[in-house]
Parts: sequence; C-alpha cells; structure tokens
Amino acid sequence: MKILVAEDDIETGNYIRKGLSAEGHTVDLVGDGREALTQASLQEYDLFIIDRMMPGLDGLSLLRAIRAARIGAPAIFLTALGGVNDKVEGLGAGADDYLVKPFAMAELSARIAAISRRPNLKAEVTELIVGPVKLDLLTRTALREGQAIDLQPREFLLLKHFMERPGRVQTRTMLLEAVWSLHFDPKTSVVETHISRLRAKIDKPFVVACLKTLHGVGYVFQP
Amino acid sequence: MSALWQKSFAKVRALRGPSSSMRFALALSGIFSLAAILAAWISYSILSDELRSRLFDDAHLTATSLADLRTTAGNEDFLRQLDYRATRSAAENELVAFVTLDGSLHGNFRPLRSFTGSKELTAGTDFYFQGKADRNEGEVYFAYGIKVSDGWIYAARDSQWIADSQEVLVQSVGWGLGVALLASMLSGVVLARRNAARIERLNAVLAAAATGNLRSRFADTTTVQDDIAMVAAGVNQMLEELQGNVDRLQQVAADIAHDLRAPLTRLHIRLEPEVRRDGLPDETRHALVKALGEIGGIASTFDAILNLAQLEGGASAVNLQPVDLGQVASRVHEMLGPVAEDLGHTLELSLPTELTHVRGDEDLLTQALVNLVDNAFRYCPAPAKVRIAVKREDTRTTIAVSDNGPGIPAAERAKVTRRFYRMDSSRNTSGTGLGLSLVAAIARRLGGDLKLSDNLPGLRAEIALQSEPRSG
Repeated sequence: MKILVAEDDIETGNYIRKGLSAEGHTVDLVGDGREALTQASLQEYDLFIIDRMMPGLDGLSLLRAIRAARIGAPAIFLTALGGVNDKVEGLGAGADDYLVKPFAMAELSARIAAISRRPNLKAEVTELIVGPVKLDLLTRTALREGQAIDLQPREFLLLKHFMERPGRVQTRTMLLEAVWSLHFDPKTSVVETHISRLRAKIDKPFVVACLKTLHGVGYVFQP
Repeated sequence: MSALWQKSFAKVRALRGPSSSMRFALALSGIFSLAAILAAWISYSILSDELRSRLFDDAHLTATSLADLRTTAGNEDFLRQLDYRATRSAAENELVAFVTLDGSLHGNFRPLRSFTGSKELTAGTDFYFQGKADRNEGEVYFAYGIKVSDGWIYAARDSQWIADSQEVLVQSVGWGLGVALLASMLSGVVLARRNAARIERLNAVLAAAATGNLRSRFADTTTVQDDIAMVAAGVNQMLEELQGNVDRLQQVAADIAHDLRAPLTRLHIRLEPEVRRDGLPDETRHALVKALGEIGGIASTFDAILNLAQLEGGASAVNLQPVDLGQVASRVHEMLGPVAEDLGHTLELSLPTELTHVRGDEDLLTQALVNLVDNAFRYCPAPAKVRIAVKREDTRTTIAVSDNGPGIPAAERAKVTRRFYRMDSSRNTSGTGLGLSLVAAIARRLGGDLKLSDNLPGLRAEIALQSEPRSG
C-alpha cells in the first residue's frame, strides 16, 4: 500500500516509516500539515496516517481539507488527546480510526490491516466457513468438525468477528470497540476472559488450535 | 464547580412565586389608588367649604337686598316682594322671612330663636317651614339675619347644591379612578408578562450553562436598557469569560498532552523493538515488558484526568438522549459476568418490570457502571456477591451496585470520590484512584448524583437520574 504519514515528531515519524516499510508498504513522511495537503493532492495514496497536532495545519483541518478535495482514501488519526470527546471529534472530521499515543507498532499495523481490508459485508452471507469451523448466521449455531458447539451470544459475536477476518491480528482495543462497542478501557479482563471461554469451547476438545495469542499484540484466527 | 451551580440553580427555581414585575405593578396600582383617593378627599373638602361660603353669601345678599327694599320702597313693596319670593317655585331652596317684634311672620319659615348674621340652621330643630308640610327634616340651611327697627329679616339657602356637587365629584373621581386603575393594572400585567418571558429565557440560558453548555447567550427582544437587560448583559459577559476559561483550559490540556505524550511515545518506540530482540535474557525481557506496561499506565491515567477535567469543566458536550438503564445494566452484566466467575465472585442482576429509561448518555453510563462493578471486584475478597439493581421511582430511576465486601467507613465516603484519593487499606490494590471520581463526575454531568452508603455489610453505590417520561 502507498501510505502518507503526517507526523511532526521526527523520531515517531521515522519509526512509523521503518515499521510500515518493513511490512512492505511504500511510505511518504511529511512533517507538517500544509506539506501533507500538497502531497495528498499531488499523489494518490491508499491510506493517510495523520498526527492531530501539527504546526502549520492541524490534523483535523488537514483531514477536512482532504475530504473537501474529494479524496476518499481511509485515514487514521494519531493523537495525544485521549479524551472521549477528542475521539468523537476526530471520527466526525472523517477519520476511519483513531489511535492514542503512545501506541504499539503492532496495534497500528493491525488497524491498518483492518481498514484496508474491510470485510465485504454482503447481505446474503448466511454462513461462514473457515478451516474446520462453520458458523450459521441465521440459526446462530457453530459447528467444528461436525460437532455442535454451544456458544453464548457474545461468544458467538466474538467468533464471528474473528472468522470474518481470518489470519488478521485483532488487538484488545479493536475487539472492545467491535464486539462490545466500548470506546474506553474497562481495566478488567473482559477480552481475556471471553477469549479463554471461547477457546475452551472451540479449540480445547480438538487437536489443532484455531484461535492464537500473539503476546503483546493480540489474537488471530488462523486454522 | 458546575455541580454546585446546578444545585443552587435548582434551589432558585424551586423558590419561584409571582414574578417581581407583577408584584411591582400591583404595588404601584395600590399606591396610585391611595394617592387618587387622598386627592379626591382634599378637593371634596375644599369644594364643600367654598360652596358653604357661597351659600352664606347668597343668603346674606338676599337678606340685605330685602332690607334695602324696605328702606327705599316702603313696607308695602317689601312685603309683596317677600311673599313673591316665599311662594315662587324655587321657594324650597330659598327661604325668606320677616318676623316682627310681636312675633307675627311673613315668609316661608320661622326660626325658633332670633339671630343676626350668618348661621347654620337645621330644619325641624332650628326652624319650621311655614305654609307647607315639613320636608327635608334635618337638612342643613345656610341663613342670614338682619335686625331692623320693628323686627328681623331672614334669608336662607338649602344645602342640596353641596350634596349634588359632592355626588358629582364622588362619581367622577370614582369612574376616573376605576378606569385609571384598570389601565394601570392591564399595562402592569402586559409589562410583567413580557418581563417574565425575558426572565424565563434568561433562566433557560443559565440552565443550559449549568449543564455545561456555555455557548448559549441571552438575546433581548427589546432595546430598553432596563434592569433585566443589565443582568442579561452581565450573564452574557460572565458566560463569555467562562467559555474563554474553558477554552484556555482545553488548550493547556492539549498542550500538556502533546508535550507529555511525545516523549512517552518516543520511549515506547525505543523499548518496543527491544522486547522482540532474540537472545534476550528472560529477566531483561520481563523488565522491558513491565516498563512498557508502566508507560501504558501513565498514558491511561492521563486519559482519565483529561476525561475527568472535560466532564467537570463542562467542556465536553454531552449528547443527552433517552437511554434504557435496564439495557445498559444487562449489557454490563453479560460483559462482566464471566469475569466475576473467573475471579471467584458472583454478579447478579435485578431489573424492574417497568420501563427504565432516563435522559443520559449510553457510553458514559456504561463507563460509570463498569467502573463501579470493577471497583467491587477489585476491593472485595473473593468470593463476593456483587449485585446490579435498576429501580424506577416516581421521577427518578436509579442504578445501584452493591457488594458484601469490606465497604467504606462513613467518614471516608465523601473523600473517596476526590481525585487520587485512596484509602490506606487499598494502597496496595491496583488502581489509579480516579475510578469513583469519574463515576461521580459522570453522574453530575448527567444531572444526577452518586450516593455511597452502607450495604450492611459492604458498599452500595447508587446513581440516581431523571426518569424519561415514557414516550408513545
């Protein structure tokens, strides 16, 4: 992917460029908002990563200007402002996601992956089959290797979320937002508890584990 | 600050009686009527005195002219003139008499005692009418007597004129006063209503400010620079300054956030790749992971402070909407039930059959409830029984989290909602000391409050909010 990173902190900017280049992306790094706007109108990008507070033109105004120029590529805000309001404001300005500093590189790449490959949500999808697991979305039942698995409603949603994104890392905050619609950190082990219950049902009785933990990063469904 | 404001504002609203301008209009009308009645009474007595002296003058003139006639034209003509005056149609109002020394009478009245000069006579007491039935018994007449050589010449005028004039005066004053009173009261009511409407709008601006909306201003409908306009201008200016302060606070918070997070981010960036480096001793890796965790902790404490400041300073615009508290409670119960089980606690849910809608913000209420339940999990030794209960009272709906843990001593309860306050007994438990402050701030921001009480044993934390009237 071709990514434009607008970040005024040189060290953070270089780190992002290095990290994303290592994952095979092409990265252009600019240090202020005006330059970012010029760059965004000169070249075509697949994704924007924008620091909210920059000299010249702040991130919010930059993204509004980009959207006003009918450039529709997805955008992720990086920000030092972690207030709930700030998130609402950022998403309202046309951002697709929002990441509060300090962040882990793994979290950023997981979110980039989530945005660039949004699941194709077709209305007629009635079942999901990934590896040995099959989900019937109409009857809300789960089968693994022909065996029925009894899932609680939230466990079903969690499994569905993973199976719609096979092989893609889901971080704790991503799961909290997507499965529980929580936009704050509950400080309790909500995700860990539900993952371990889900795992006990879909993996434990079988030989191969589908739901894997990536320590310090998140979880991935990979049969 | 805004909570205190909200409370005192509610008190002021409860004190409302008739508006001050309405009372002012009534008082003004009252004073006006008193003044008008006093003026009428003064003119009444001046008029009466004036009329009395005129009537005396009239009697005096009549008596004198009769006496003159007798001197110049002789007794014959005098008596003829006297009889004419005594018998003509106006004779009831004008009395004349000639009483000789031996007591014989010409004319239409007989004084019981002879007199000279001006004298007030009462019919029936001081004189009798002559030649007709006694009428106007008790009526006052204004008389004049002149002594001549062979008797007395008298003339008198009745007081009917005074009575008539007085009646006219009373009537005209009465009508005038009535109309004037009506007019002043009507205009008073109209003015009072207009002012009441302006004050109502001013109240609305203040009420909005009390819930954190500092952007509304009072727009006056008149150009009159009266006291309300002055107060309104003061309110607008105060809101302007408050808004400025909040904006500056936001700016400072943003600047601090930026300056604090930039180094934190760099620190994180430097440590993160090190953790993944191969061949690292376990001890070092462990220390690095812990350091990364601490960085996350600093950042999230910072978020909590920022959120708290935004909630308390009224900087965050809360989107008040109907929220089903029961549904919020169910979701949190479903979310944290398994967590409770893993920790060895039990989490119960109790919902009423009635509707449990309140005016609130679903995200904030969820956050408050999660915080309360998390607190219970954190501070109660397992196995604890934690219970979420929603209850609808008349105008309020409450959501309470109670446990059977160690509770909070009464003396500490007010303090635990302060920022960073931690009881000595919980110093070694993880937590930022901001959880309950945040819950209290959320409750206040939504127009409710957080109440901590003894659950006998344990702690009971209750948030009470205004019920949303059932719609549809």
